[in-house]
Amino acid sequence: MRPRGSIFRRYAFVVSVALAGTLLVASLVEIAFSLGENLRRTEEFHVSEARAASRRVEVFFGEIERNFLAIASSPWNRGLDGSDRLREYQRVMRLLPAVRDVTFAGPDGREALFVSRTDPNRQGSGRPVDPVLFGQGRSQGAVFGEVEHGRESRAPFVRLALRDRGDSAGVAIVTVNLQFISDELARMARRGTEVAYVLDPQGRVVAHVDVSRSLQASRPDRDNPVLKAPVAQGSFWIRDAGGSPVLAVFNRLRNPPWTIVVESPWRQVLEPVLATLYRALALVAVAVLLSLLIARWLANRMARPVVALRDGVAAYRAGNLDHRVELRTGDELEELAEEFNRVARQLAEYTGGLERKVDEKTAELQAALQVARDAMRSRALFLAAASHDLRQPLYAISILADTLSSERLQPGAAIVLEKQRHAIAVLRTLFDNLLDLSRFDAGEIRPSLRVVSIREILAACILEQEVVCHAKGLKFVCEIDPAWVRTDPELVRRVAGNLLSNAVRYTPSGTVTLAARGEGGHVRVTVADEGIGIAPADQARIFEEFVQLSNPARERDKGVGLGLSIVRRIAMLLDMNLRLESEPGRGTAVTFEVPAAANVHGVVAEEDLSFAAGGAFKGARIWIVEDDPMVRDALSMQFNAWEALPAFASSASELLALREAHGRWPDAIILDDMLGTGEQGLEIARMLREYVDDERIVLVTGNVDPARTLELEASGLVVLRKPLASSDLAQWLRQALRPAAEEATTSPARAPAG
Amino acid sequence: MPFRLFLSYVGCCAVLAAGVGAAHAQPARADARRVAYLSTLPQAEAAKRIGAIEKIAAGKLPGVNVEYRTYRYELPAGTRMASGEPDPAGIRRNEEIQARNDATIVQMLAWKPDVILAPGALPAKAAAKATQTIPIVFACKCNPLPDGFDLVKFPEKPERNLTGFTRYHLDMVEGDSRRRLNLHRKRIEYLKMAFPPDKPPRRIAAIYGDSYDEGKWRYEEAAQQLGVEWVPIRLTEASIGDLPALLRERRADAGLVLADTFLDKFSGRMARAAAASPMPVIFPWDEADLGAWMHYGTVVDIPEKAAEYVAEILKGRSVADYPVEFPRGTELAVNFRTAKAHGWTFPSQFLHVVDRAVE
Repeated sequence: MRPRGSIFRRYAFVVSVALAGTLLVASLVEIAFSLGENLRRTEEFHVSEARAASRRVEVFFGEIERNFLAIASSPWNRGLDGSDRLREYQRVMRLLPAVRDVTFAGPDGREALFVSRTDPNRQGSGRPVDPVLFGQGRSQGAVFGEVEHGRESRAPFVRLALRDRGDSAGVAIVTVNLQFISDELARMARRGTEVAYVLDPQGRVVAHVDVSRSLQASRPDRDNPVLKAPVAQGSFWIRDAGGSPVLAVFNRLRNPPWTIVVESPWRQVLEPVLATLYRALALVAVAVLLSLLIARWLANRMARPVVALRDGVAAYRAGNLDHRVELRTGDELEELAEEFNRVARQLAEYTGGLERKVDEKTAELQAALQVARDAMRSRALFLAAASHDLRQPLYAISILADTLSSERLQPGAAIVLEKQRHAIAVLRTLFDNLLDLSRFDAGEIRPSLRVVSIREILAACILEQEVVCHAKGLKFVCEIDPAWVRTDPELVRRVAGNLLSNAVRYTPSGTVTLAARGEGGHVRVTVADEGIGIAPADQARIFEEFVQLSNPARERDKGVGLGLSIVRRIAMLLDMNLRLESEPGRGTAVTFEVPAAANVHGVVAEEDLSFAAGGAFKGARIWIVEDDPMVRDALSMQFNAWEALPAFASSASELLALREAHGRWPDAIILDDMLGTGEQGLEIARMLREYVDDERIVLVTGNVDPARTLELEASGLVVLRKPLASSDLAQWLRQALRPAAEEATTSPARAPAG
Repeated sequence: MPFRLFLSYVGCCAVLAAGVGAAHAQPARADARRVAYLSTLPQAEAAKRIGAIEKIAAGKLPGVNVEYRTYRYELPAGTRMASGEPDPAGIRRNEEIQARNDATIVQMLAWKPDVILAPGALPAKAAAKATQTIPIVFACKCNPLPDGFDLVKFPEKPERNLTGFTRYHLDMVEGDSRRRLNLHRKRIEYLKMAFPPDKPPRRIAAIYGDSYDEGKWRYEEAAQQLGVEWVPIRLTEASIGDLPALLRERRADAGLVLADTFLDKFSGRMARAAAASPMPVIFPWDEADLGAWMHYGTVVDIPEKAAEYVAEILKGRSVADYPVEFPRGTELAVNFRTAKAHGWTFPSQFLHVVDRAVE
């Protein structure tokens, strides 16, 4: 949509154009006429100046001519002797400083008298004078000779021949220094850089306003446009020596036949024109400025009501319903403004009612939310309180069942025992899942990232599922790259375990594959099966809680539908990309990506993934600090089965007593964190750290209190959670006892200090 | 937005007004131009002269800032005694003066003037010897041509960095153009006219201070052609006051003071000494105004002409394009007070030719 211009701008533009535009056009037209008029007057003025200069020159020579003709025409002329004429000439020369000398020649053309300013006077020398000039002077009256220049000074001078009255009269030849004409031109009121000069018929400069110019021998210039002009006076534009245009105004004299030229630079000629132009432009600028101000004022006045209404609408749109449009125009616009204000008031009232209702509903929802939060908190507290007590017997039952399985039993009893173990396992899994789900929801699970081999993570899962697959007749394929990852190994192990468990569970026959491939910055772990598959419509649901697609009868040995829900939560927590590909009847593949660890080299040692069999920890001295007799019995039976050498204590003091009795520390110590004596396993472990390596100590806890969990994890010791499976215990023992085996020859445990 | 539109209108008007204002603006004052005045006059007199020139030049150079600075150039002392023998003290004094003048010119050039105004042939020559680039305007009473002080070879188109004007009259209507008589014969004529026609002067004393070379000037020959006897009288600084006695002693009927540097240096004393003489003594320049009997010479408005030359050159006119100007007017001025003091009465024919009377 084209952006709309403001009404002010439109009004301002229209009024500006109307006022300023009209004024500007009228002024420009007036300026154009004024310029033409000024130009004409300027030229006329310069022509009159040239005439004035011509008159000066004419007066200059006229004065000389008149004075000498007066002598020649005087009635006493006939009786003048040489002395009288000399005196008269001297008198006239005092009056006319331009006259350098006078020669009087008699009718015979010979010098009778010579009067000079600078040379001695002569009388009756009888020297012949210039016959041409003499002849012309006698026949024509006042005759000018050629312009000549002084030999040294280069001063221009001209000779003027004047005839005496009478039949036998002689001729007076007057030498006139033309520098005095230059002085006359210089005395004229010159303006600026105006130049006046006199040209003889050959185009030579005989006088110049700058007298020094007249001293320079100027060459004839018959092509001078001034000389070629057919009229006696006029003007035209030419270019001066510098190439700038000048106005040349000329006027031709009759006698001598010289031309007076006045040159004026264009800037000077046009000065009055330009002054008029600038003045007019300045006035126009001021007028335009004023008209713009008036236009602004008018436009503002015209646009104000509309702008006020627009601002009112904008304010209502912004939610400011208290805004009121104030207009006092006394016309329909004022009525419109009042209507706006009425609508605004109604809107404000309606909006106020709505806001009150929203506030009430919000308060109700917040109360409900608080109730829900309280319920969540209560559930978490309940689970925390119940977990220990519920886990303890389950822990004992589990260990007892495992222990019993290693005994030789009647065939029927063995079947029963196996079913019992299976039920325990299902129960434990269910229990673990429920607790974990609770912990995830409460935000209590925080990943503990470290660099670890993917093989180490997946080893326990492989061990577990290998047995199950074998039992179910499935082919279990593992393709694990020796890669290192940076992650929380326990959580990843849970993900892999849950996925494998599901794969095995829903694969009646065929192959279950566990693969881990390093790709780029990730290790891609894939759990694939050739099971029943998942319909596309159900693929999005299977990660929800309590969703089991192929267990309509809710068989508990198939789980309760929490495994994949936990998988989804862990994947989100560890920021792992989880992808499911499935096709009904063909199988399912679930892939997740674990961030690879940088800068870890070397080949991972092949793990001994075989499950601890009887005699696996033969001769290992293992001390257990546990006050629950049922658990102690179960553990005792398990260690005996492993042919280890267990010893039990229920407190720190009993542990020290064992140390006294045996004379040395054991190969491994298992500490229950919550002892009935009020002691805590963590404090005992801290005491033991002085004597036993951390790797040989394990804390076992059933406490789900977040604060305690954090404290245990921060201790740096291995922490196992109840209920504890024999496999977990065996795995830890394998890790703990390996260094002992390797270092057995030196110091399996440190001697107590002191 | 409307206000921005309005501002743009106002901006256009401001630009238009600025353009109009700029067209009328005065040109910015350039950096100060420098004129060095290398004067032979005492400080007070030089300041007075340059002040007058500066005032006139300012009118010819509107808006141009010109700075003037005066440097003193000392004229040489006499090197011969009254007897004509070399004067060792004078020679020594001359050497000292020369050293001071050299130092002055170095100092002047260090100031980096744009123009040097040298009122005299000797300072002009000295300045021209020190710089070939800075324009020099001479204002002298000398013959500037090679047969004179050799300031310029082609006065119509000066070939070096020297131009200017002189009061020396060169153009002779008739006679040998190689003889620079400089109104000499006209002075003798006027001196003769100052006497009664029936008692013309027979012996005219040629009064001079510097060396006089008849072989070069041939003044005596010219005087003899005019029917007078030529009586050379050489003055020294010490003998100026003795002029009346010397004239009497040499039985001179009248005196003619030759134009030389000695006169330039001691014009006042010589005018007073001549005024004390009972016989007419004619001077070559302006000495009637100083009390002398009379003078006949060329007339030049020196401050006006000097200012004109300086201004034109500061405007950028080149020396080569600026011809040397020679005098065009002459003046016979008579101090009637001096004549009256001696009871002298001029004949009427003389009074006809007097251009100016000094009362």
